[in-house]
Amino acid sequence: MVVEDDADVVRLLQFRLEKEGFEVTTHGDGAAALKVAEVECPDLILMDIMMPLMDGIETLRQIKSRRATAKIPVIMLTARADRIAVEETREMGAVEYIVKPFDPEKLVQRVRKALKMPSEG
Amino acid sequence: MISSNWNYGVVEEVGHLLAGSQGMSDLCGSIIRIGISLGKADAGWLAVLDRSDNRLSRAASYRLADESDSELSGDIDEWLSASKAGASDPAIATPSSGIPAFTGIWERETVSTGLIIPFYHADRNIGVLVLFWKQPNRPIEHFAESLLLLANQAQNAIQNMIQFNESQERSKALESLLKVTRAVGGQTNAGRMMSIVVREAARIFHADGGVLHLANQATGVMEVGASTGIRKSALENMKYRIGEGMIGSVARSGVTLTVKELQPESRWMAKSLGNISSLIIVPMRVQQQTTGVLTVFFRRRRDFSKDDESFLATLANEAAIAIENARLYEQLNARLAEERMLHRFSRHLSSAVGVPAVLKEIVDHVTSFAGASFGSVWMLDGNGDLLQSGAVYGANPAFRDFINMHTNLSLLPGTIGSRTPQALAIRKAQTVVIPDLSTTRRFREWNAVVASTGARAQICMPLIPHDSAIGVISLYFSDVKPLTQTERQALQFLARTSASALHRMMLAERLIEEEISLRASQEANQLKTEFVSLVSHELRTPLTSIQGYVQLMLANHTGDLNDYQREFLGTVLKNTERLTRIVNDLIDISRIESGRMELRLEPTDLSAIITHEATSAREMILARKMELHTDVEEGLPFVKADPHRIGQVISNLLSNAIKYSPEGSSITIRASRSEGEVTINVSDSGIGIASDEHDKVFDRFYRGRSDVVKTTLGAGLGLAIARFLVESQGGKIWVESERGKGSTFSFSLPLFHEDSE
Repeated sequence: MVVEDDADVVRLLQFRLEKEGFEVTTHGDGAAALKVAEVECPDLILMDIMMPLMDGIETLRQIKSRRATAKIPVIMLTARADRIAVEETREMGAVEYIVKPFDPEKLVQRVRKALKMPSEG
Repeated sequence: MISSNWNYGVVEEVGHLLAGSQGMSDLCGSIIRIGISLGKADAGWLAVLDRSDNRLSRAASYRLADESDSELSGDIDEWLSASKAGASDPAIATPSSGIPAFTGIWERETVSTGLIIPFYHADRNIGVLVLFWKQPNRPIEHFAESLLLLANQAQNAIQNMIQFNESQERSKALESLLKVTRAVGGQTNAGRMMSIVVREAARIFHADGGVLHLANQATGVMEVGASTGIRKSALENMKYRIGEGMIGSVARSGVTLTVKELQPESRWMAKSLGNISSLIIVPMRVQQQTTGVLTVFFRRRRDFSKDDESFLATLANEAAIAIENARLYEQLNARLAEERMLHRFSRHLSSAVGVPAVLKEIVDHVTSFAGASFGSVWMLDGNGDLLQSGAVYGANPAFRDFINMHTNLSLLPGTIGSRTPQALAIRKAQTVVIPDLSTTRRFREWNAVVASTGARAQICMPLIPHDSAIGVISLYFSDVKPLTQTERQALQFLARTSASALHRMMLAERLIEEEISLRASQEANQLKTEFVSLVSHELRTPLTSIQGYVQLMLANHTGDLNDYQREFLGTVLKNTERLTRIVNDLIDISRIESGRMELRLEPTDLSAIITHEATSAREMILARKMELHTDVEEGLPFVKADPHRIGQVISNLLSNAIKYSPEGSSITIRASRSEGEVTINVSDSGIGIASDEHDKVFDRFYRGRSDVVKTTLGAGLGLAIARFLVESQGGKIWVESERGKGSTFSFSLPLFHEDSE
């Protein structure tokens, strides 16, 4: 699941990840993502921090506090690179923190790592 | 011989008669009548003691011509002693006795014999009865016995009457004293009180005049408080010092002085007061202190009894207490008025807002309190060179014009301003008083100008809140009036109060300004950090898309690329990476400036970081056909640093080295250990940096003078950030270089000590 409000970045991620063989669902805001995550239980969530209404940190907190979704690994993918955000999200249970702009190849590797899959190449 | 029965009858009758007398003259009349009747005399004369001067004076006469009467009244003591009449023996007088006073009487009255019967009481001569016979039908001795009995009775009666009169007088005097005390007790005006006292004292004693002096023990001066019966001109000569003259010595000794008869040579104040014969001077005492002296004088001879002295002393002391009370009351009132004024002043001062308002309150109150015609307050500017006029009081237009023409007074040496009383007051930190502007030689220029406003005296008080002056207040008087000690002290107090109020207001204003600017800078900082967040997101997001899509294409995810496509996309990617680096640098600098750069210090393995950065730079190195050598000391200890940021520093130095070196040259990274720290050097053989620019290269946005640098792309932030990062991790950064001979950038970091954490 990709939670990101910038459509271009969404398309970029979706393209690359689907190329890699992943099934990708996308949501533009935290609230919608939360509802769907509870039902669909994705294997991994890639989430931006800076989103309107409920931001990524709050959404993360919600995900981690609900039994249905608590175990889903979450990777933060965001332009916010300050230490506070990094630590807060780590404390809340995010497994990775990737700063934009990112190299899509490197991102794929880290996704595979988070899903505990062997990396290719 | 007269029988005792008859004598007893006489005694009784005489006693009755005399006891029934209403007053001394009635008594005297009775005595003389009884004497005449008993002695069957033809004429008689009686004198009794006059208390006021303690001498015998004529009381009654019978059948004597006026001349005879006055001859007898002349010098009674003389003919009495000449007659040798004693206490229990009357004396017979005849023309041949040779008493001068009687000479005229023998002839005029055609009498031939006289009998002189003196009356005594306790050895004191209290009267004398003289009887005359033309031709006694019996020898005088025949009447002597009964006359002596009369004398006895008369003595007692006279004495009783004298005493009665005395006690009458005393009670009248006490009544008077009571009246005075009441009158005086009701008075709060010391002056009026003193007049009452001195007039009553003179009246009670039937004196010719009196004077009350107040003694100032501190200054030693005695001032006339009130007087009666003394010409004003004479009073001028009556200003004594304590210890001077009779009055002065009573003031010093505190002991009553009575003079029954002043010797002609030392007739006191004879010229001004006329001859004074007797006087009594009593001290006025309050609580063992002599606060004044009351003098009562007589132009005739007067005897003073102990009763007189004690009465006058009581009056004097009552007066002293009352005068003291009145003075205290007056002082208290003055103090109250002062306190009220000060209270009002303080209230106005604390409710004034802003320095100009405070200055106005100060000048208004201090000028009115001092009774000055106009006043102005001046403030010293920051450097202490200039006095600026702040506020002015006094409607005089000449004065206002004067101040308007002199709003700034320079205190620099050589200027007119430095030769003003204000300048002196500030320099000396003392009040400057010019009692008379026309006679003072200092400040001539200033005084001439001031005098044109109508001022005749000036006082300048510096305003000193702690230890140095912040301003000065000038008061101008239209009269030449000296200030009393109390007034000066009060003014000093006002000056001190003004100084602290002014100082407080200045501090408050400064604090408010600082608060405002602090608030402003905090807001600015707040805006900056919000800006940083905004920038980081808004700039990085589009970069993400640009970079991401290009990378996808370059990784052949959209199909194969031809050479041009590959090359051009590569250029796009390179530039997005540059943009990203610039955005990151900007964000770093912004964080550094607003103090929000967070560093996490931990034990750091520099060799690993060097390796990592060297690897990251490999592509760039290869692209420029350069060589990178690393020389890391064996067993390099850990340093206390933020690994990510150190990586950033090394990366920055490396990229500079690569950028500014020619193709094919080599770069070396060295890491070595020295005393308590590790040093890393990045050396290149590039264009080098001139020695005068060695410091400047680390400045923000500095790009250097060399053309090469100018054409090379970069924002000039990297070294500035590097310096901040190194220095905030406890290290130092520097460069060794020469134009055209390459550069070595070095930085050091402190070792990580287990115990220092």
